[in-house]
Amino acid sequence: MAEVVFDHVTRIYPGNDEPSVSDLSLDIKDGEFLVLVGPSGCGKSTTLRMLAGLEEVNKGRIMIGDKDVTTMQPKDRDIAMVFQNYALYPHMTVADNMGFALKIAGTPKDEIRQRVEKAAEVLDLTEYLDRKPKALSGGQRQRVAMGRAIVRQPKVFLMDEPLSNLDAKLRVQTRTQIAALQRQLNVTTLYVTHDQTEALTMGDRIAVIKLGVLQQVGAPTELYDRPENVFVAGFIGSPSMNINIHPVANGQAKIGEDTISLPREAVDKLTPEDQGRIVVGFRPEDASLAGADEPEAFSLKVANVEDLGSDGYIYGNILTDNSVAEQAIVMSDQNKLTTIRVNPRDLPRVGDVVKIHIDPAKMHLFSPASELRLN
Amino acid sequence: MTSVNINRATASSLDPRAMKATSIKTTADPSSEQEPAALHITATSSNPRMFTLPWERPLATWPRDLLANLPRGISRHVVRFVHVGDDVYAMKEITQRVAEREYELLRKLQKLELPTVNPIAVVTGRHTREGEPLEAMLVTQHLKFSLPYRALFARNLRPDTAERLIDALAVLLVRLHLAGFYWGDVSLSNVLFLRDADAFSAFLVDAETGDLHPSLTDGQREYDIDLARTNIIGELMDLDSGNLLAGEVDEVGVGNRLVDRYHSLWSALTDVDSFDPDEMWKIERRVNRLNDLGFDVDELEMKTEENGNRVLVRPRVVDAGYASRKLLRLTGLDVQENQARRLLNDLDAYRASTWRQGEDLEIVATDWMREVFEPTVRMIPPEYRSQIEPAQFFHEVLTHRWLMAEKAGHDVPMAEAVQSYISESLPEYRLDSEDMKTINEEADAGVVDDEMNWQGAHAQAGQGKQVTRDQTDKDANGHEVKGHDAANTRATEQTDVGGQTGAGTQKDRDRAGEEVPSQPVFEDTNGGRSSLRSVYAPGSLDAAADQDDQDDAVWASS
Repeated sequence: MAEVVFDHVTRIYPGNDEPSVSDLSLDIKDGEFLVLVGPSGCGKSTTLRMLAGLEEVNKGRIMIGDKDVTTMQPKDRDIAMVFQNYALYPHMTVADNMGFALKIAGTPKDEIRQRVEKAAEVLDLTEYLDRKPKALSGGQRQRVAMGRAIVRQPKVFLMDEPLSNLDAKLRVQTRTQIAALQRQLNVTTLYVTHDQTEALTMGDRIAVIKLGVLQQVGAPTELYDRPENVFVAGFIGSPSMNINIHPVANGQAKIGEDTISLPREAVDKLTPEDQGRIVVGFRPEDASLAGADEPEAFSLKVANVEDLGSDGYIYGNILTDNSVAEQAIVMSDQNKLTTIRVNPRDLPRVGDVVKIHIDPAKMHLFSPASELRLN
Repeated sequence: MTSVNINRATASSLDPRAMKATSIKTTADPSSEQEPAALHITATSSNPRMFTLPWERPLATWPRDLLANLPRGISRHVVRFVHVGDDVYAMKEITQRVAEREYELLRKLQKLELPTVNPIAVVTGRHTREGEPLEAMLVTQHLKFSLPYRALFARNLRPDTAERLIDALAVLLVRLHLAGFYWGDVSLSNVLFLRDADAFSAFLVDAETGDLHPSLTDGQREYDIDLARTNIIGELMDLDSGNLLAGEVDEVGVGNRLVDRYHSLWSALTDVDSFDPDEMWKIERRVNRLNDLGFDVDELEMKTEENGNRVLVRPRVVDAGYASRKLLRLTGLDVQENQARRLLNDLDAYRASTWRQGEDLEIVATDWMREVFEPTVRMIPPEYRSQIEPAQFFHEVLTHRWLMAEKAGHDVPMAEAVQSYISESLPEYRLDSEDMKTINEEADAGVVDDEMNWQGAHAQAGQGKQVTRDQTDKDANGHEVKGHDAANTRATEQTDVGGQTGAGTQKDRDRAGEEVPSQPVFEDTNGGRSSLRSVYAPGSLDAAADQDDQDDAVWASS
């Protein structure tokens, strides 16, 4: 087991001007499960492949424990890529299927057996060790395949979108299994995914990356509760955060006909580049229906509603007077509609105009120019 | 340093042929992909029968009468060979993203003329009749005459088979790496082998984990090689556990052989040679050596050292296929490299023996085709036409004739050699039905991504839905018997409630020393022989009809 350190690492593919990964500094603590998440082409897989030794590092260095592995061959790095396309060997017992790589490496028989038994215990396969794969269910076979990586006792596990070749149902099961397994084994793990739900549910910490640049690293709740910039705010969370740009006047955000008070400390941080505007973000669960004349609320024309039994969702358009200065620029997805979670018993009808109140303590404010957090 | 750089291609961009390989473009972000609501087929073939297949059923439950009984390799996914008109397609059930990605990659590799299976289609938006979504499917063409390594080991092969397979795999890996393909999962299971004169040719069949780059880093190549070594040793250890490996094979030694062969081939192809300026004739020697290895040299990159004392030469090797391209040009025969070399040698011998050295090789080649090659391969008995490639047959007859001549002390006429070869050696090409069954059962034992099988796991004891699956298999076994011998099946159905007799019957038959051809592509499981010719004839109808007769002959004896 070991700590992994990316120290100002840059990767520029031959022929490219822009780096695919730019000046990345990131540490994965000993035994930590770190999830690297980001959209298509953000450099997350490149980062993992640099750690694996599959991609060259143009600048900076990578450490595993106290060893500088920057130019080391993959097989000398003591890493395991989990969830390669393992198939099982039909004539070998489960124990041999798990331990054959150790046999190749010349590990003594006793030690192989010991390590295999330990892995089998973790994987709940002890009673199957002397059986052939034929006698196992698909789920057990999958665990035998995981066992192969475990018995090697590598310093680091690398997982690159390991669930992408499973169908949706198996994905959820396997997700839970991998996370539980990693905690039991306590092996430093770098896990790459495009899926923020996977990141939130699995990682000890999450690193969000965009266009080769690290955006924010932190525990799932930190990223969810205090996103450092607009990108992280929009990327983490499902349904995603409502994010709009509004004009600021007298310390208040103007939303259509309505105004909402902004914390002084945030407004003070706005600069001339922000051109008198502010980015206001709030999560669907941090807003509520308000009375018709209630202050500190804005108007929403309901475009659609969903009743999920436990939750209700309102999707709508913020009413503005359509002047350029006041146009609310929507930065979240959700088909450009504002999403509000409410009690399903209180769902309005489509076409209604309702008043929405944002919990002031849960408001996320950003500078339109720098896209950085203000509060 | 003066530089005579003939190679103008920038190393940074992908081959344009690969760039325009397909309309399917998978992004690195799976969330941007939407599963289509209705069945969607992107195909390179216009075979209308593709639409008539039971896409609404999980592949593992497709009716046996659609399936071709061919040996399958080990895979973690459900894979089946399916008759589609005159073709046999390999179908693999995987997620949409993986299916599209692999289809796209295989298309690119095809455009780069690399030895891979031919992608036919990617099928998405599958749903059951009840509307439940099903996984996508990747469809590839079954590579005719090819066999997975396990089927090769199931036959009595020469003891050095493992080594020859490794050599073929090393060549394949080098060719893929030269083209910038990082495989990520090299193993014997992920290739198919074709006989190529006395050697084998390897074809990539699984590109799931692969990636195409403008060029590979040493780390990528070394990782592939290391993984290949581990996988090969594991695969051989597995054969050993099943007593399928000759005692003297050293698994680790064979695995290490791949590493050695790869490195020596790679350095032969890519190393920079250093010559004195008056030794330029050595360049030609280097090029000839590369041609002997089967590789074409596209360009030479030549630089002189600053003091002008030495010339540094690096060949830019494009691909293997030197001899086969030459043969294709001369005769129109499209065969493997070693076969081509053998055929070209025979063509040379023909030219010399007919005193036509002065004539154009193109003209001599036409006569050689008409007088030598075609009459010989026409003698392949119909029942073997789906099992041995004509060029391989020709090669083996030549070898056989040489051995006969040596024994007899004089030349042996071609026709006599062919007859002798057919009766003495050709039967080795048959794979008995028990072996076939074992191979496919073994393949099933490794499948991880079969949902029915998975949910069995969650019922702990492997009960629940798995039971349904077992019954399906048993039914299927019963069906299998029906296809060959309707009368026998009727008896089976009456007496066998548990469903095991089907397998038993087959076993009994095999004990009686019978064999079925290794690629009974014509196997029909609908019961009726009459339907065979019309629906499942592969290649030419005549061949199918003949094959069918042969099947009858074989089964009639039971």
